[in-house]
This record gives sequence, structure tokens and C-alpha cells, in this order.
Amino acid sequence: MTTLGLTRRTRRSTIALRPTAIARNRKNLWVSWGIGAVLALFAAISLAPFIWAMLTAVKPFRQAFTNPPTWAFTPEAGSFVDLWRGTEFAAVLGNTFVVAICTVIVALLVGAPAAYAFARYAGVVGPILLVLAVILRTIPRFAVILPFYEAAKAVGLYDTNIALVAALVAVNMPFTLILLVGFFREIPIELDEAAMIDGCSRFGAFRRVIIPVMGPGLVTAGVFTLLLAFQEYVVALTLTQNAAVTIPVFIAAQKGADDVSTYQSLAAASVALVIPVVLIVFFARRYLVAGIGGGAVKG
Amino acid sequence: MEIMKLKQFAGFSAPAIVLMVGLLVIPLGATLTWSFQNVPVGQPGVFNGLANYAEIFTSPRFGEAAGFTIVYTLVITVLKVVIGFGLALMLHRLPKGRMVILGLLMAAYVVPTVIGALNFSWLFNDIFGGPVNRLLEVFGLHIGWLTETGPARVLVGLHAIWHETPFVILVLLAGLQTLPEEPMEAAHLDGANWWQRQRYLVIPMLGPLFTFVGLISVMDSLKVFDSIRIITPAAESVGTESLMTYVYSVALGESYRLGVASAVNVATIVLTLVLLIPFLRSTWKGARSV
Repeated sequence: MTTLGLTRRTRRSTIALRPTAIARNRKNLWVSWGIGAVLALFAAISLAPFIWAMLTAVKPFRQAFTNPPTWAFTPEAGSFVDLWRGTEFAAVLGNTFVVAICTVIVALLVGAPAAYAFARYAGVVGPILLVLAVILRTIPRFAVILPFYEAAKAVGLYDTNIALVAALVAVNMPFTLILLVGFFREIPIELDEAAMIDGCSRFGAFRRVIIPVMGPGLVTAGVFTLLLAFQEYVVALTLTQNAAVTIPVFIAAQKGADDVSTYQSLAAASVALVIPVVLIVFFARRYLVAGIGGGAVKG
Repeated sequence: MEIMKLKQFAGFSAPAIVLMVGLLVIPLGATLTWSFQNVPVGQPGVFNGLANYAEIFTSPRFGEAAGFTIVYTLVITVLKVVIGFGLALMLHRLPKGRMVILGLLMAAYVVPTVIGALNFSWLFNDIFGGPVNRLLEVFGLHIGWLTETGPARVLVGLHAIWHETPFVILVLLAGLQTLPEEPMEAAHLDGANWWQRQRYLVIPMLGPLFTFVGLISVMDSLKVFDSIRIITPAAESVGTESLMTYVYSVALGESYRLGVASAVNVATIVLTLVLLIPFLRSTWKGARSV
């Protein structure tokens, strides 16, 4: 993607050398400024809810709930302390990370070989399974999770991380597959052939040659799966009660209490969660863009 | 040797297929079976024919939830694609700072839906000083966003646009960046204006991507649940009940009737597939042609 951007920029400058294009170029500069201003406005609107939550979190209790809002106040960290000491937040956050990371590991271990097979097998089975995966992706969570709930209760796995990870891997598997198949298709088949001519078995070629060059694809699929597992609400709401509760369930339960005294710790929790998620995405943005451009779309 | 053998294919894909059959297809089969049964939680179901379907299709509450969900899906899908395409075109024209603006816009998309919906709804909540109503006061308006049916429905839609449009932007921008430059310049030299170039070149060339974002949007919007539970917890009385919040109420909220809830799930699946037939056909063709 970077290389594409570079070639385009050089091309643009060669156009600018044509005399007729100079006037157009000056107009373009104004247009660019206008566009920049409009986009900055949209970005500000888009961030407003988070800015408001942050203000609510750091306002002293009395000034947080005035109407009209108070703008002059001394920031306090009290709501963060309350959140950390007075609620289950820290434990729930830890559990959410455990669940999300286990989900990523299992999803990639199961999904990567299957995606490779779908990308390489020439028969009609691959396309059929892919269409099936698309159909499965359309199924409402509840259509899968209600029977899951009954089964988990029957075998004593209700409210455990095991049931939660199993359900999260399953409901996200079609998506993981679609994403990974797109990446495997990008890898030239000659690479497999070369490895097998050199004496690798099919599995050896997959493990020693294809997986190493799949690094960025696996990271992309991993980050997507992590974000999906982290934010999953329906599955966690249905399958947990106390022990295996995750962040979205915790937040919704606190909100459900609808008690003004919890609002500030909810705001603090929002801030504490929004910042790391945004940072993960900011640093992994190249992988995410590659995932959407190269994987999900072509899948 | 270059073509994978069926046996190898089976070996590589077995774990994923077993997992999807065991944890997706079988539960789905249970849902289908339950939809024809009376199933109290924790007990085996008893066959009761089409009673569940008869119940939901004559229930005004189901009708209202289905109507709201369908209108919501169609309206926000169109708005997301239009707004997302507009912003993607603008980002594409931006000479500098494209990734920074994109990153800022993406925040609303990547934050967990529950948290995003909570923070978004606070802007409309008078307890917190309600910034949106403060702005609307300039026009002499005061709107009960969280309690009145019309405004609450608009609010749920606004949240979806705020939360999901960044994904549309990301996909369409990635598409715009891979378009070839030559046809654009040729069209420009031939005197095609900006609108004509979008209409006859860019939009057709991005066709598959519009299909893709439309597909994702329809699938996800018909299943809307998280945001409604957060923005209007009393969805039924406010008038923002979707098919999925209805399922939750019936199955695990106010009653424990898994049979009726399963019938709603099956109806939702059928509805989704009907709306997706054109998309599925193109996915099939795409997969076949590779």
C-alpha cells in the first residue's frame, strides 16, 4: 500500500509540469484545504463521545451531573481509584484478556490449516464450504448460543472460560476462515511446489514454507479475532454469570443498575478501555488495512 | 503434485470442519428442532407443531420488532454506504495526514460496541448536561432521546452510523487506492467531469466492494442487539425492540421459552437469507472463478 501511494505522488507531480495543469493545481490546493477541514470536523464529531466520557470521569462528583454542563473544574482521579478498588473491574479485565488470547490461539491453530486447504484444493468442496461459511456468518448469535447455553448447563461448563472460548472460536470461525483464505491465495502456489520438490511433504511445506511467509496474514487474523473476542457481548452475556464474566457484560450490568453513583466509574472504565483498544489498533493499523484490502474483500 | 489431493484437503480442514459442525451446525439444528417444540429451560422439548410460529406471526410485538429491524437495516445500510463513500473519496483526495484522520475515525469502530454505545448515548442524556440538547436549544428544541419512540429510534440509527461507517470508509478507501490511474486521466482529457468520472468509472470499478460492505451491513444490522440493550434497556416500552432483543427477552429475560425464541431465530435466518440471495450468488461466482 505504501508503494502504491508513492508511485501516485510522483505521477501527480509529473502532471503538474504541464502548463495547463498549473491553474488547476492552485484550485486543487484550496479544495484540499476544504476537504481537510471537513474531515477534521468529522473526526472531532466521531471522537466527541469519548471526550465527553473522559470529562465525566475526571470531573468532581458534583460538577459531573450539572445541566448546563460545568466547564471549569479541577480534574480528579477519584473515579479511577473507585473503579479499581471498589469494583470487580481489574479481575474482569484480566479474565477478558485470558479469554480473548486463548480464543486467538485456538482459532489460528484450527483455522490456518483449513484456510490453506480451502485456498489450495482445486475441487468444488472449497467454494461450497466458503459459501457455507458466509451463510454461517449471517446466523444470529442466539440461534447458536441458546442450545450452547443448555448444553453448557447440562455438562457443568456454564459460567466457565472453557465454554466461553469454545463458543467464541466457533462463532468467529467462518470469519477467521474467510480472512485467512484470502491471504493464502496471495501466496504463489509455486512456493508449495518448490518445497515439495525439495523433499517436503504437503504438511512440511505448509509448516516450514507457507506459515513463515504468512506472518502478516496471521497477525491480521489474530488482531481481528482478538478484537472480536474482546468485545463480544451476546455470547458472554448468555454463557456467563459471575466467574467468567467479561468486560462488555460487566459494563452493561453496571449500566443496568442505572444508579447515578456508578456513572462516573463507568466513565472511568470507558476511558480505561478505549485507550488501550485504540492504541492496539493504531499500532496494528497496517495489518488491519491489509486484512480488509487483501483478505476479507477477496474472500 | 501441485494440485492438493482430497485426502490432504480433508486432513488439513478436518479440525475446522469438525469444530464448525459440532459447535455451529448441531446447535443450529437444535434451534430448528426447538422451533417446533415447547422447551422450558433445563428440560427436553415436547413437539408442538407450528404453535410457536403461529404465536409469533400473530403477535403484534413480533411484528413491530421485525418491522423496526427491517427499516433500521435498510435505512442505515444506505446511509452508511453514502456517507462512507463520501468520506472515503475525501480521504483519498487528501494529500497529507490521511492515515492520521483515518485512525481518528476508526476509534468509533474498534471500541467495543457496548462501551461505544454507552458513551454515545451519554451525549444525548440530560443527566450529564446533554450536550446535544444544549446545541438543539439554539433552535428552541428539546428532545427526549431516550424516552420517546421516534427520537429513540433515530438515536439507535445515529449510533449505528457513527459506529459502523468507519468500516465502510476503510474498505472503500482501500479500493480507491488500488484503482488504476490511467482510465481516470483518459476520462479527464476526454472532458468527463468529476461526477461523470465517479458515476461511470469509480463506482462500477468498486462494485464488488459496495456489494461486500452492503452484505456485511445487512447481516449485522438484522442482528442488532448490543447497542439497543445499552441505549434503551426498556426497548419494548420505548419502541426500539429489535428481533434479537425480543429473542433475549423471551428466552432469558422476562420468560424462559426457548421454543418461541428459536422460532424467532429461524424466522430471522430466513429473512436474512432472502435479503442476501443476490450477494450469495456473487460470492459463489467469485469463488468458482478463482
